[in-house]
Amino acid sequence: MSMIEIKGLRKEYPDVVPLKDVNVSIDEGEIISIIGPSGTGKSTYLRCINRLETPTAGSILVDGVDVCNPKTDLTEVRRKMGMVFQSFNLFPHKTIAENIMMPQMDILGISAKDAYAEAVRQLERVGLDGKARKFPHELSGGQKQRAAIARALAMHPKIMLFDEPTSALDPTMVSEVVSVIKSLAGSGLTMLIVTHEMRLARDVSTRVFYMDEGGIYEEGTPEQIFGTPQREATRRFVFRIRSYEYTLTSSEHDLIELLGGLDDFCGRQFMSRKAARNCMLAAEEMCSAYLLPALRSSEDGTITVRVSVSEENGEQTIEAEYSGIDGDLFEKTDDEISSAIFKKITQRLPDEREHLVRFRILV
Amino acid sequence: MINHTKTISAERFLAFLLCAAVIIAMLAQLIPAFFMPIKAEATEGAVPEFKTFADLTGKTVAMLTGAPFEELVLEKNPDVKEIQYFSTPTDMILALKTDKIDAFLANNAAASMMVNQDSTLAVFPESLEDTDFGFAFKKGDPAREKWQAAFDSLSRERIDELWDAWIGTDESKKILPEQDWSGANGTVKVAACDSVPPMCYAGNNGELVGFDIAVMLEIARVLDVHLDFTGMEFASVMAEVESGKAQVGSGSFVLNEERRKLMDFVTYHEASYVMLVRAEDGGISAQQTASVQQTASVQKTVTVPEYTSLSELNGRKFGLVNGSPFAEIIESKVSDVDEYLYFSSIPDMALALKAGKIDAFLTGDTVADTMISEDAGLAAFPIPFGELEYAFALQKGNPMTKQWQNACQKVGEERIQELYEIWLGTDDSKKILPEQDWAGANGTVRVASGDNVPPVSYVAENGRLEGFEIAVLLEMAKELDVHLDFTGMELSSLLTSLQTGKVDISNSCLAVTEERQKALDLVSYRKGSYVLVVRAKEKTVTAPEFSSFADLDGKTVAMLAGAPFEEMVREKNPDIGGVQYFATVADMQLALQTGKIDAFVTNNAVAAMLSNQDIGLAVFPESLGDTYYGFAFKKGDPLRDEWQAAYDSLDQERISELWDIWLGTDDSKKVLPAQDWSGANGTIKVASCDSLPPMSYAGENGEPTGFDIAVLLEMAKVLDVHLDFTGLEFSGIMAEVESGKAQVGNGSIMMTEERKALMDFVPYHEASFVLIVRAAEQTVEQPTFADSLKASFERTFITDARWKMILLGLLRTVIIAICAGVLGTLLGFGLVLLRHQNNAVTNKLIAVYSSLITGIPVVVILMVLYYIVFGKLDAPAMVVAIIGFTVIFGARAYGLIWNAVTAVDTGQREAALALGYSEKLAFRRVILPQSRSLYFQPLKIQMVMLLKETSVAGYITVLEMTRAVDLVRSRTMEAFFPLITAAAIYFVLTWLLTKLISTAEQYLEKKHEQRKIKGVD
Ligand SMILES: Nc1ncnc2c1ncn2[C@@H]1O[C@H](COP(=O)(O)OP(=O)(O)O)[C@@H](O)[C@H]1O
Ligand SMILES: [Mg+2]
Repeated sequence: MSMIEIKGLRKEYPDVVPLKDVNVSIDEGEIISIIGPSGTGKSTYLRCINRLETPTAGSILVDGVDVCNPKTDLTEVRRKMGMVFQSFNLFPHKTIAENIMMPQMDILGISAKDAYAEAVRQLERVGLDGKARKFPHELSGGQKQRAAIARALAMHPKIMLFDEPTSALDPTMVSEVVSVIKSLAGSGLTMLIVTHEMRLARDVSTRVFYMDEGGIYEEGTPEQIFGTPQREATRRFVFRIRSYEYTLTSSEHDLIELLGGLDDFCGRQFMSRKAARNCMLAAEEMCSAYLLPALRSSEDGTITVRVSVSEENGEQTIEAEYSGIDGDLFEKTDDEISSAIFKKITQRLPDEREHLVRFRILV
Repeated sequence: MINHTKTISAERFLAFLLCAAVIIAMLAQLIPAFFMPIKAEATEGAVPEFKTFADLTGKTVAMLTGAPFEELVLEKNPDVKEIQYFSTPTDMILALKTDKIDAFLANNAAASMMVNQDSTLAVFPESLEDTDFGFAFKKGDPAREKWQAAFDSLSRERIDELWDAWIGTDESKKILPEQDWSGANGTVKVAACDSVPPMCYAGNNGELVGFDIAVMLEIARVLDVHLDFTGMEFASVMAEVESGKAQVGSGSFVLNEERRKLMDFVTYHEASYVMLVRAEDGGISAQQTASVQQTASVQKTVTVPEYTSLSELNGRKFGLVNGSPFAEIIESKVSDVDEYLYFSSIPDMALALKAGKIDAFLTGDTVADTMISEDAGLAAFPIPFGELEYAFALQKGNPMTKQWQNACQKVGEERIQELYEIWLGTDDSKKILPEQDWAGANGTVRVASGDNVPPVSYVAENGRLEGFEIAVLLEMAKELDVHLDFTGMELSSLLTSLQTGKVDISNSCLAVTEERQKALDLVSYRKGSYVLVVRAKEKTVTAPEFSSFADLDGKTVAMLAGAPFEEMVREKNPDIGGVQYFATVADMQLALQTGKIDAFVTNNAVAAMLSNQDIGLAVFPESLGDTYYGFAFKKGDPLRDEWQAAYDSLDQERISELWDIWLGTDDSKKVLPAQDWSGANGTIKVASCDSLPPMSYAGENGEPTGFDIAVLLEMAKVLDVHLDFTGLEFSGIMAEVESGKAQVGNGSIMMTEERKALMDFVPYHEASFVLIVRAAEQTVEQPTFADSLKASFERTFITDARWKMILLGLLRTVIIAICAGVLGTLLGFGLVLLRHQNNAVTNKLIAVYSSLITGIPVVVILMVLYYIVFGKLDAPAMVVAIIGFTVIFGARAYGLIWNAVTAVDTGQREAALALGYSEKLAFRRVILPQSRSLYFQPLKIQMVMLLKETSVAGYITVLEMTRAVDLVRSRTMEAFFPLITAAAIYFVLTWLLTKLISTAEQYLEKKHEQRKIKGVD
């Protein structure tokens, strides 16, 4: 039986619709990592699940309870879900121990003594023994986030929702939080983790959701998503591909501008001198060997040249996307020398998209 | 550390206030010294202030009444400002010295003498006209030729020698020869003026002396005749010669065309009209200033109203108590009111009056009399503003009105008058209110009383209401067998309380007016009158130098020539140094002022006038003898009885009013009525003395005027006769009446036994012979600043245990502030919780409430609550005040807390919700506690403001600090201590409150710091 069952979830804001139609089913004990560019509705998705946001449409069953039903006692549902926020949201006027005790006492009706014992236990679990009497402002970011996790755990939830738990942290503190989260894996908790920590996602997840375009754009095992993402956006995201684009509309176009921009781009990506030189060369030769002649022979053709580099593995590609031009751009050329150079430093890659030819730039 | 600095700053602040007060007081005492004129040395040469006629442009020139010089002056300079007429040269000298006039005309003889005697005077170098002095003879009298021939035979040197002697200052040379020649050619009667020195005047023993007399004696020697002189008024001389009673007339007659037509003259000296003016840089005027200073030190001040005539009230500012309908009454008498200023109590108006913020205010006589008698700075305007009735007010149509009116009658006018005298009296031991020990079977009646209207109703030291009206009301309550429940409040609140039904009766020296009768049921209980209260002018009354007859040992006493006072004086003290006789009162006055004599005898009218004039003279306290002034009638004249009846019908008050006017210094009031009655019963001839101010004297145009004349005219009006006055010398009056030429004689004639034997009189005023002496040179003790401060302190705090009242007020202030602060904060929290529910209806209600409260002034809110919301309920004012301030503070606390709450990070709410908190619980447990740091400071400031704002609770009759201080202030009529005290107390209170809240804050912080976990540690 699935722990979370979402059907046709839609969330509209006055000016954006972050979630268009989300359908998903998550089983008990599953650890879901949710990745994706910012602003794609990951937080909204999580917040819909514990009803911090009210969905516009669709249904969400959590542990068999429809959280969208107005009759549902939300506090009851939320009690089953712990949530960890990017900005910790510890209660600043209470000590760490009280932060953890207060909800237990207020909501579960647990005595101060028991709540305190639980607080101490949870703090030990997240490696914060001895910080019970500190105030939140006296802790570092990583410690605060671990305290926040302890506070959520103390309520003994079935589900843990993490919304970018490490995003507000200094890089040095990320690992301490990550390891706490990792340690939770396998404890039977169902976890949904929105994160930009790809290693965390790869290491702990049973499934990875890539969110984009108003929904779960691609999902799969960590191996699938991080190894062989099927869809372009996923790929660009997973491999952290950065691109430079230039659109040519006539053969008279000044290549200097294209190459100048590309030079800047290469500089910004901190490419090696050699890699940058190859990029420039590939672009220049592609234009003179194929693109400019093609534009010359067509009425209103446009070609977009896109040079991409993956920050993940350093792979460089160059592609040409064209319209208004008949036939294969790369079939024939007038400039044999350029063509020869281009072919020497590139390797054509298969691509399912039409009017698009893609090459890997060899280094 | 922080507390320590705060203590010091508070002390410094108080010290600063005190220092400032001391400095201001010292400055105020120094200022007069700065402006005191510097005493100048007298200069020898009398250089005239003006030298050409052109210099007289815009100046005032004076001359004797009836003198034909006006044209002469105007011919020389048509631009003189004004011509004034005086009856004696002495008056003109005085007027000239006091800058009332700038020059006066005199003949060369008088001028030379005056200049010789008085270095502040100088002769204007240009003469107006040159002519001669002459002795008068009846037209065509052959004796004139003989006299002229005799004069011509005299040597010019001898004449000049005499001239110099009589004009000069050396009295020893002014000696007349005995008439030791045979007088073979008979005796010639000479009528001589007795008041034109140096030519012709009464000497020390009443005998006639002067240059004229000297020359005539020389002539008489030649003619070998004896001269028989009769002294008289100038105006009578010519008539005397004309009628043949005397053959020769003398009186420094300056010859002019007119006189020459009437009489023949023997010219005996050059005459010219000259003008006397002030000497330049007159040293004496500086001396005069000094002598005024000297007298100033012995003057004691009495309260005289600053304004005494209606015309002076034009363009003034008047004070009104809020809601009093007196503007109309004021305007019925005063045509041009500048502005009305409104006050909440009568004592406030009195303070404003003294501070010069207003010039007068109208009130009932009850309040006015007490105030004026207690405060030397206030005085009653002398003209009454009409009658009034005092009443208690009930709501219109109250069925009880009749019963109360009956009760009032039962108490009776007599008893009310008795109470009036007790409560307005000075014996405080009698001012006791009865206990309400009657059954009270007919219930309890609520009374709203002015709490600041001494003596009719005011808050006593024990905080209870007291006063005349309270006493009357209690008497009435006893009659009705009801109990009274008094509430003191401001005047402006009284009628509101009544109309809103908060109380049944209201009282505060309420005057019945038409308007009020329309709006209220009035139970009138006493008649009174409106009094306009004005500032008192510091008028000086001088203590006499001598105060018992024994003091007069060896002193010189003067009296008018021929007056029978010598024996009277000697009877009282046979050891007086001597008696001197003078021709006029003015001379005696001058002699007294210059120390030539030590006292002179005159009648009480003259005495009163002189002592009113502020010239360093005082009335000797013991009288020489009492009698009456009387109008003289021929013995047995039946007219007398008619006039007596007419006099008896006059209002005595009117007589004393006239007395005050004519003896006073305000000349503008000395106006006689026109004889505009029909005069159907004929015309009566009156012989009036024309030289006895203030009773009977020649006015500016020579017409008889004075108190006598004023009384005579009142009587004439009753008798419907016209009076035809003839002015003449005093000695001529009785003869005139005796001879039947006049039917009535007047001239402040004192009814001595001797005179009563000769004539019949209508007595018209008490008269007495009194002595005028110099004002004593006493040093009036100026209280030191410290003493007056101490006295002021005592009045403010110690007298009548006023500190108790202030303390009680302080207690109330604290109670209101604490209750409203605590309850208001709770209310604020309640509203915040309600607002958090986010119900559309309650949200709207809260918004309306909070914008209403913040949009209406505190005072108005309180009054609305008191008079309207709780109008019918019998809620004590204290409770209403607490409710009011709670409501006000609640709105503010709500605003502050709600703002703080919305400023708390939304992440906190989400975290709480995610943990399973409900919205409500999250708000209470997480959001609200966190917002504390955001609202705490502003709330603290609001609390301090609240404390200060409680000072307006006085508007709804709560006797809190400010009101208590106001009451003390109105009782003491002093602002310094009460206000400084109020300022200091409020300062200390707010400081304490701030400290208290800060301590609480620190306690919470400390607890926070301790990290104690509740239920664990
Ligand atoms: N309360 C809100 N009101 C309006 N727009 C919102 C609100 N919350 C989020 N959004 C918008 O919805 C989109 C998705 O937001 P979010 O779920 O926070 O994205 P992510 O967490 O993936 O970065 C964004 O464009 C954001 O601007
Ligand atoms: Mg997000």
